[in-house]
Amino acid sequence: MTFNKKLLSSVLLVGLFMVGCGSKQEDVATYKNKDKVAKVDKKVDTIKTKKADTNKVVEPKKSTVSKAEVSVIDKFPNLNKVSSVVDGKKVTLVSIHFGFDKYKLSDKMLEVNSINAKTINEVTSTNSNVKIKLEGNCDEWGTDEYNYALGLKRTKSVKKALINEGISADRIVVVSYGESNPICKEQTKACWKKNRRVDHKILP
Amino acid sequence: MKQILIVLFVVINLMAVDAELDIIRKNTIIPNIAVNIPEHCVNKKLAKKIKFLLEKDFLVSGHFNVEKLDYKLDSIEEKFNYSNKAFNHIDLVLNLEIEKSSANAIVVSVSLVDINKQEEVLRKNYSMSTSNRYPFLSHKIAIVINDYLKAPTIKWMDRFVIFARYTKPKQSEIVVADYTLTYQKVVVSGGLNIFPKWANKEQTSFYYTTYDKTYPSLIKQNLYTSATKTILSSNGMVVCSDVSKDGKKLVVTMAPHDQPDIYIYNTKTKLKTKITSYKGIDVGGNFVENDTKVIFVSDRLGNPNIFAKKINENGVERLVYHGKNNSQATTYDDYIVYSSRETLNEFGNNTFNLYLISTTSDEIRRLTTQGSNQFPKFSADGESILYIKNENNKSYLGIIRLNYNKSFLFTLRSGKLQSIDW
Repeated sequence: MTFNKKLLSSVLLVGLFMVGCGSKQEDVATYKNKDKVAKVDKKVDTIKTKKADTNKVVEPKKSTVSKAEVSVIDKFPNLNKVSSVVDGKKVTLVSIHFGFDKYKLSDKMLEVNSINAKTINEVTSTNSNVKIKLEGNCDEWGTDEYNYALGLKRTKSVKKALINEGISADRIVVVSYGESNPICKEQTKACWKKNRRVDHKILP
Repeated sequence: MKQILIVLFVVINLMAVDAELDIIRKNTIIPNIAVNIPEHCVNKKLAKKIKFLLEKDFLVSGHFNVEKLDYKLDSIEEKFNYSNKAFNHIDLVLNLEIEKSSANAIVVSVSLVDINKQEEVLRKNYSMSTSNRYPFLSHKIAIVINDYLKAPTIKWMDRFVIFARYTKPKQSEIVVADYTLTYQKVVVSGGLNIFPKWANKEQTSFYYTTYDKTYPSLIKQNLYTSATKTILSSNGMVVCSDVSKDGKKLVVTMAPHDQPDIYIYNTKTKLKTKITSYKGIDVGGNFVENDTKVIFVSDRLGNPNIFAKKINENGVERLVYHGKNNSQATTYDDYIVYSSRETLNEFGNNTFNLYLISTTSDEIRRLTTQGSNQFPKFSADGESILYIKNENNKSYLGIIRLNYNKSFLFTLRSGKLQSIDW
C-alpha cells in the first residue's frame, strides 16, 4: 500500500513537471522586435486604426452539413473552400483557382463556378438580402501593386462568370487582397497554386 | 600582321564594354577615418551604438575608408600624440564623447581631428531627449563630416523611410524608420494598411491604403498629430503610387468599376482625371518630366511592361524593350530603374532583378543579381536607389549607390516588407 502511494505520488509529480516545462516560448523574433520599436515619442504617436475587418464567419457549434455540401467537398478535395453561415446553415463555396499571372477561368473552373452559382441561387431564393463578396488573391511572385490589380481582375472574371449563371450583379462586391492573404507559406509550386484564387463569402 | 590586328580588335572591344558598363564612375582617393570613444565618455554602451552606425554611414557614403584605431584618449579635450604609430594609416579621427546622459537629456560632443594637419578642424555638440533616436544623430554627424570635406551630399541619410510590413494574413503595420532600420516606430497598426507614400518633401504627412472601411480607402495622416482624413474610396482597390512635386496631385490606381486604371487626383479641386482605359491591368503610375507625363506598368502587350503617356494626350509609348515581365519602375531625369522577372521558370531562385536604363541611349545596366528585388525608388538627388529584397524567407531594405557600384542590405527582423518610400 505504502509503495503504491509512493509510486502514484512520483507519477503525479513527473506529470506536473512535464506540463510546467511544456509552456510555449515567446516568439524570439517578436521579442527582439519589441526592442527596436521606439517608445512613445513626444512628436510621433502610435495610433490604432479603426477596428479590423468585421466580416468574420461565425462557425455554428453544431454544423448542419447538407448533401450538396458533402458533394462539393468530395468532388473538389484539393481546392480551397470557404464556408459562411446563413440562417444557421453552413454554406460552402469552392474557391476559383488560376494559373500564374492569369485571370481567365479554365474549363474546370467554369464547372466549379456553375456549382457555386447553383448554391448561391439556392441561398438567395430564401434570403433576398444576402450579398456575395469575392476576394481576389495572388501568390507571392510579382510586385504587390500589380498583384492587387491581378487579384481584382480575377474577381472581375469570377463576377462575370457568376452573372452569366444568373446571379444578379447588384449582389456581388469585389475586393483584392493581392498577396496579403496566403493560405499557405511553403515555398512550393503546390502552395503558390493554392494562393492564386478567388474566395467567396456570403454576407448577410 | 593579322594576329596584331586581331589582338587590337579584342582590346578595343574590351575597353568599349567597360566604357558602356561604367555609366558613371569617379576616380578619387578617399580618406581613412577612424571613430574613437575617449575613456571619460559617459554611457559607453550608447556611444558604441552611435559609433557602429557612424562607421556604417561612412561606408555607405562611399566617401571614406573606415579604419580601426588603437589609441587611448582620456577626453575629447586631450591632444593627440601624432607621432604614435597608431595613426600611420589614418587621415581623420572622429572623437565621440557623451558628456551627459540622463532620462531626458543626452549631450554628445564630436571633434574631428585632421591627422595630416595635426589639428582639430571641427567641433560640434548635439543633444537629444531620448536615446532611441540615436540613429538619426549618427546620420547627422556623418552628413556634417561629409559636408566638411565637400564630398557629394548624403543628406538623404537623415530622411525617414516609411514602409508597410505584413505581420499576419490580412494584417500589416506601417512603420517609420531610418534607412538602416535601426530606428523603427509603428505609426499605423491593426488591420490591413498598406502602400504608404510621403505626401510632401518635408515628410510631415503620408498617404496609405486601408481595408478597414466598407471599401478600400486612401487615407492621409499627419505624422506628428496622427490626425487622419479619408481622401478617396474605391471598389476593388485604391493605391497612391506617386505625388507631384508641389504635393497637389496624386497618381492613383483605382477600380471604381472593378477595373484597375490610373487616375490623376487633384487634392485641391477633388477632381479625378482618368489616364488609362485599357481593359487589362494598368498600375504603378509615376510622374516624370515635370509632372507632365506618367510612366506606368501595363499588361497590354500580354506581359507586364513599362509604358509612358503624356497626361493630356492620347497615345502610349513603350519604354522598356528588354525582358518579358517588367512590373515596377522609378525615374530620375532620363534614367529609369525597373524590376524585371528573369527566369523562364517563374519558380526559380533568380527571379526579379533591377535594371537601370537611360531614355536617351541604349545603355542598360543590371543592378542586382539574385533574390526577388522589387519596389525600386530613386533618392531625391538621383544618386541612390532604395528597394525591397526578399530572399530565403527574409526581407531586406536595399540601398544601391549608383556612382560607387556598391549596394547594402539591412535586415527586417520581423514581418515581410510590403512597400516602401523615402
